[in-house]
Amino acid sequence: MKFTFSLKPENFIIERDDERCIRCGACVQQCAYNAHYFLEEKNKVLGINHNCVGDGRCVAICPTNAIRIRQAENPYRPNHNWSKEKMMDLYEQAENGTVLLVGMGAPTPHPVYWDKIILNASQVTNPSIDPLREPMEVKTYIGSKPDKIEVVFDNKTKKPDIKTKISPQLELEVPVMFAAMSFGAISLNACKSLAKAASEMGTFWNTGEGGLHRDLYQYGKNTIVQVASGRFGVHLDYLNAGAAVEIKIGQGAKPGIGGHLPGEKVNHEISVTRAMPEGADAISPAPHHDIYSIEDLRQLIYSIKEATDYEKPVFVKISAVHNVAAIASGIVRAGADAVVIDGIRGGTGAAPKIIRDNVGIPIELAIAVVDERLRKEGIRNQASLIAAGGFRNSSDVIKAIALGADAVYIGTAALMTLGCHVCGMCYKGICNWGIATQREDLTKRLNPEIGAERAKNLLKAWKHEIQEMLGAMGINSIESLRGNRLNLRAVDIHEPYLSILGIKPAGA
Amino acid sequence: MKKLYFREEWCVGCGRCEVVCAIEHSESKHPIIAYFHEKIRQTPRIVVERKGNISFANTCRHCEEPDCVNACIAGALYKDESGKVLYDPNKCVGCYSCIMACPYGAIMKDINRKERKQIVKCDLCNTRKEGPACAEACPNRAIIFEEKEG
Amino acid sequence: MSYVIIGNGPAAIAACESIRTTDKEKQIIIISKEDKYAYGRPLITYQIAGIVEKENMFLRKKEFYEKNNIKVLLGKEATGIDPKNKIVKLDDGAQINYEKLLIASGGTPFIPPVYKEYMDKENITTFIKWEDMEKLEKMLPEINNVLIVGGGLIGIKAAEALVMKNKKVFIAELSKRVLSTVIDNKGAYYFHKELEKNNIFLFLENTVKSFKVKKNRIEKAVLQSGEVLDIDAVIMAIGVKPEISFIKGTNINTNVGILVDDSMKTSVDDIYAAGDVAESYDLVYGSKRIGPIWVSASEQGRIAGYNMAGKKASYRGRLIMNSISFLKTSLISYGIINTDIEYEKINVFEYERPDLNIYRRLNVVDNRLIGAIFVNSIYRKGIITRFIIEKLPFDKYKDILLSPNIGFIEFEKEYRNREINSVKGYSKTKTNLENTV
Repeated sequence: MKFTFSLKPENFIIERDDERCIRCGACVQQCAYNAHYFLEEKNKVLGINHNCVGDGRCVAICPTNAIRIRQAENPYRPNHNWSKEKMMDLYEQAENGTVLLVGMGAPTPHPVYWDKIILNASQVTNPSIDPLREPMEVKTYIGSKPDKIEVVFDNKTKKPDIKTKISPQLELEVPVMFAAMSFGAISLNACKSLAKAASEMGTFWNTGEGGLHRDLYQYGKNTIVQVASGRFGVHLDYLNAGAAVEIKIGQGAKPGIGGHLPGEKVNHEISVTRAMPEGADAISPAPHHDIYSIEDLRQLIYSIKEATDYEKPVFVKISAVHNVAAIASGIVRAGADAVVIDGIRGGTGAAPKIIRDNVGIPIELAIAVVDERLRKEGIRNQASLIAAGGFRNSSDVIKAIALGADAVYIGTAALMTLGCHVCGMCYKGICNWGIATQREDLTKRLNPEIGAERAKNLLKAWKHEIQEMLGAMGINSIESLRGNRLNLRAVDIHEPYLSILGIKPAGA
Repeated sequence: MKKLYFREEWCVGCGRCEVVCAIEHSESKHPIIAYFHEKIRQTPRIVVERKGNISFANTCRHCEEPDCVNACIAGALYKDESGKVLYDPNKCVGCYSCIMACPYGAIMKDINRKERKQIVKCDLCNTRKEGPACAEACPNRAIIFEEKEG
Repeated sequence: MSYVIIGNGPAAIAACESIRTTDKEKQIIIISKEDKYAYGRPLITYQIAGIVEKENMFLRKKEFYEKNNIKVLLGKEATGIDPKNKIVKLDDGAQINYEKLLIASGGTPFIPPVYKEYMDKENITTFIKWEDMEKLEKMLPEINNVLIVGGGLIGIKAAEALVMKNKKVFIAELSKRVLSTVIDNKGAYYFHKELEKNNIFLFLENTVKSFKVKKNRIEKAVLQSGEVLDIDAVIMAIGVKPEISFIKGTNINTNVGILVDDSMKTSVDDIYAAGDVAESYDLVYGSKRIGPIWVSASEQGRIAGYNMAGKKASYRGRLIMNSISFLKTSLISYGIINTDIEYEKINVFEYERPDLNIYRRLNVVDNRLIGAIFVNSIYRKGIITRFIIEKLPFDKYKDILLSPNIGFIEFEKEYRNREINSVKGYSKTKTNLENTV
């Protein structure tokens, strides 16, 4: 029993229905945070509220549904300035003197523009399309598109052919891919689940900055390999194993700063995959130390293209921050085949809370301004635009495409298919669902057979919903929706955001 | 014949399989009544073994040449046409020869039964429409119910 | 031409079942000396005690015989065999032709010569078969003091039945402990305690010198030690020996029982033997022995049946094992127990909790388990058989063998994953041994 004097209040309350509790002890055995224990003398299972992180493992595992987790009320006097959360953070820093860490994306109460944007539907004059009866093209190609296409006809057969050389493209059966989440931040079983699901669905997953584990090379055709500032696991075979290479400059959860995987988490498998010493801290520096100008970026992009024989598209990923449009323009001109922008809602395994919650802009605005800017400059076709950061369902995806994106990355949503309850304790490394941890007793809880099935189910469902929404709009190809803001209307969005998004208010 | 197979690499040691086995073999099949209000609390026919990080469940293998059927002096254990090895408690005299003979340790005393000595063993949820409850309850597919070649 | 089985016990039934897995056509004829369908002889004590009803004592239902084309000749005794002409002679003069013959005639009670003259008295009986059970059942209402001669497996179970019927029981046993062949002194202590608790008078290292008879009833027993007991009934529970009287005149090799090879075949072609009558290879002793063990009888019958029907099966050998309880005290023991007689170089490992009445003992030779005793500790103990059968190295597994909770978790990962996922289950044939060792 620990007796330290602490001011930190509890976040969750464990409520157990004693009548339903059969004292099987599954909750005690399953909670890695030790929030439950068995008091033999009283033949009761009790909870330690302070340890509970609200990740729902015990609720799911209890065979008689005897447990309910409730948010603890605010024990302090109501104060609009000093909310419970602000007070807790302060107490924590007074006790430990450290930078507060968090996992997952910013939960801050900025407006979610997706919820204020609505879609069109066709009626009367422009008939809607039934996607189960008529062709509905949802396939998307990611890569640089040429300015114009020169068609030549074969002298003998009279068959047409394209003379223009087309840059390498990724072919997506559904405009949704799994976002970059490194092996190290998440478990190998989680990576396997996403890799398998992506392969079976005809889309892609991203290695993140953790390198590519040997067990995952078999999914290379559906893998986007990332080159981040730490260059973990980056070697020639790695670059050639994937279908595309992504240079990570920043991510939405922590723009401007690097990453840090503590040495305790760098076990044998991770050290081999990342090509670094076991037990050493894995630090990704804030800038790439060989990219200090846009010319440096261009040089890296072309080095990678050279190394991969120009067979793979090269993406560049940035956080969506103040001048995202200008930066994106620079990236396109530097030769990237796709620009990836990651908004403030983007997730992370570990980031300083103060950065995650305060740096970055909502992805809705970022997509709009980047698409607008690239079109204005006449270079929109030279790179695809991939958006990331808090996409929750297929309507968010459709709206993103209507605003101008070619495809989206899902991170949090993908982990939720594997069981994640967004408790935000990833940085602790004792994830009860076996996702954000390397502990073997926990990672075995995530069976990739089941994980891959669930992730695939999500993409299948979203694909079908996208087809339905397109059909309802009277569109039979997703290409027709791209950047087609006329299909969107805004509810309760005011200037200047209305203009930034480039959409009309509903009713107009 | 479909049998239960156990995958140690996916077992999380939660014990749900033991709980639902007991519930399924109770009279009421209701968790609260089965555990607290029935005359005899059922003994699970499945055993979860745990040590450190390792855990797995195991039950009767429904052997082709069952040692328990060989050992039973009363003919209470028998192999039915489908191949399952089943138990008729009415014929059992509680000699525990089956416990002595089973090389899988799959047969156990019915511990809560005081007035008569009996045993319990897995019956592949013979009378349950959906099949074995343990395979259904397992959160991680560590228990699968399928047909395999020898 | 048919399969003919002399005997109607577990070996016979097992043989029928294994024959039928291969040959569903040819008739099987069972020659049963008793006039009852196959039943469990050990059940007679439970019937007396009121735990099992007579109709539930049969090993298989009537349909079993009909469905499997088995003709049972009840109340017929085999008196001789003519191997050259393949004929079995019956006591009523009939002659049965056989294509393959299985001798599974079991054992008959062993009566020491000194008691033979008393065996026809009204109130004395052996305690092996149905008619013994009915004789005792008839006597039961009128008797009170019962003397059981012999404190072995049969004697103890008879005592239990009589105690449950509120009779006063005396036991006279030659050795210095009850259950002498299947338990050691330390373990027997717990049984002696339980016997005492139930007011049973136990006379160890003692036996009956003579009986006093009046009007064809035994009234008193005079023990070797000099005590004279007033008794109303006597149960002779000394033991059984193989019933082989009817094979005289054939050249079927015998020793104490009928000698058989790995396929349960005797020295004569087409004649097999199984069960208590057979002297077959014993896994632990490493030589041929008789062994009145129910499990072994079933196993051997099954193996014999396969071979008789043309499917080769090779018996891995008998493992002695016994499970017996007297009221609240239970025993499971395996292999070689009487270490003082057979081996010198035995390492003994014990675990005892007198406060919990728990006792465990392991006999180890050359780092291999050869015998084990478990008193009041039977949880999943069958797993122990693997150590003896597969000759697993003892030192690696010493802790689990002595612990209360034996399981697969202590085995090697590959071994346990293969075993808990076994598709066919544990086999009694030699092929199983090749895979596991």
